[in-house]
Amino acid sequence: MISDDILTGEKVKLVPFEAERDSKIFAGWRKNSEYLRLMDGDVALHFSIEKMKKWIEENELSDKFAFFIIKAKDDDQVIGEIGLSGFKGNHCNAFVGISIGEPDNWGKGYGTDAMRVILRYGFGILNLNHVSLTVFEYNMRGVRSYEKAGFKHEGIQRHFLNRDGRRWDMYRMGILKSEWEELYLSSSSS
Amino acid sequence: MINDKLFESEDYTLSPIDFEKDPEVDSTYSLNLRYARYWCDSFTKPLSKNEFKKKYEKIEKKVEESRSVIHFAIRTKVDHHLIGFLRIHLLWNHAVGWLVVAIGNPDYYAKAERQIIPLILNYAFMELNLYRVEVDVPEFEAEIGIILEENGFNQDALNRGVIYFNHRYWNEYLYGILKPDWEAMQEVSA
Repeated sequence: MISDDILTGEKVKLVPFEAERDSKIFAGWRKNSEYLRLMDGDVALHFSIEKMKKWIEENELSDKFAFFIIKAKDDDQVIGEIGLSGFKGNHCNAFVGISIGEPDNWGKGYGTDAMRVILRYGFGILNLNHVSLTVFEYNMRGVRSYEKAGFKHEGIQRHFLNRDGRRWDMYRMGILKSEWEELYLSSSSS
Repeated sequence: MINDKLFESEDYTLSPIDFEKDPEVDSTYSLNLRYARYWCDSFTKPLSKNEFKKKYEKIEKKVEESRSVIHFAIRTKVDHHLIGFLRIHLLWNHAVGWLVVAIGNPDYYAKAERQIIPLILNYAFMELNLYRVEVDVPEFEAEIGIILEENGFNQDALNRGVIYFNHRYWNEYLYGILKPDWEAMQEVSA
């Protein structure tokens, strides 16, 4: 049986970016330095709405990324962004990145649900063999969410980050297609 | 006395790209897909002379504009023959460098890396002032892992099944070395 609902989870659905709408939302989220410092290792910066819009438009139709907006299923609210990139080994591995925008929406299970949906997309549609991610030592909420979605610890990039006057580790996590099938396909068929 | 031998080991030199001679040599080396995969962002395939020229131009532009990558051709000291390349991708705000060493001429496999790795670590820590250097090593290049460990690298992560090459999935090892570890090794060997 083929599902038409690959991109819909229990709490969220993944939809394409809309440059006009999302550039304003992204610029707003990025005013929060905690959001930026959880999201990646790049220098925390602000961008204008125009710059965000241009970035989204430049990446439309790109085969290098598969980025989505996360919307809450119940009220259609735009709550975050998630995407696969860094396709490696002739597209058998990708890195996933996820951010939930408003702190009010953190810790409600949206991220874990969105991660389950994008894994279904990555393994079931893109035929990936493995999905990787990195998460910082100071983001244990993220680590727990990724473990819940099925990711395993694959190592530690020791002292990778330099923030607030000290070095922090970056954890490497990953999930194999076989592990995902074991977790999700066996439970849905039983 | 300042070190004036940053770019040379006993038998090899790190030098600029030679746009006249290198495309032909690299194009021949790239018929070996083990080497070509280091040059290809997406599909691994051999590249023509002209494609190599375009690759070189792109790299030099990136080096000049952003300083987020540094690239050297690796040559034999005796006859300046191209045998491969070395590249460092930089995350300046965290003083982290991601190193790629690729040897195209099989006669120099492992031999060249044994001299090039110490040379580039000296450059990374004493000239670029990095704090952490890391290298991804495919499982099928395991001899490089041994050379890295001899030079003080630690296997920080094992990324399972992230490469597909020659009919099967392979793991990738992530090796890392921190400046204090490297400095301690220099004191021991001094």
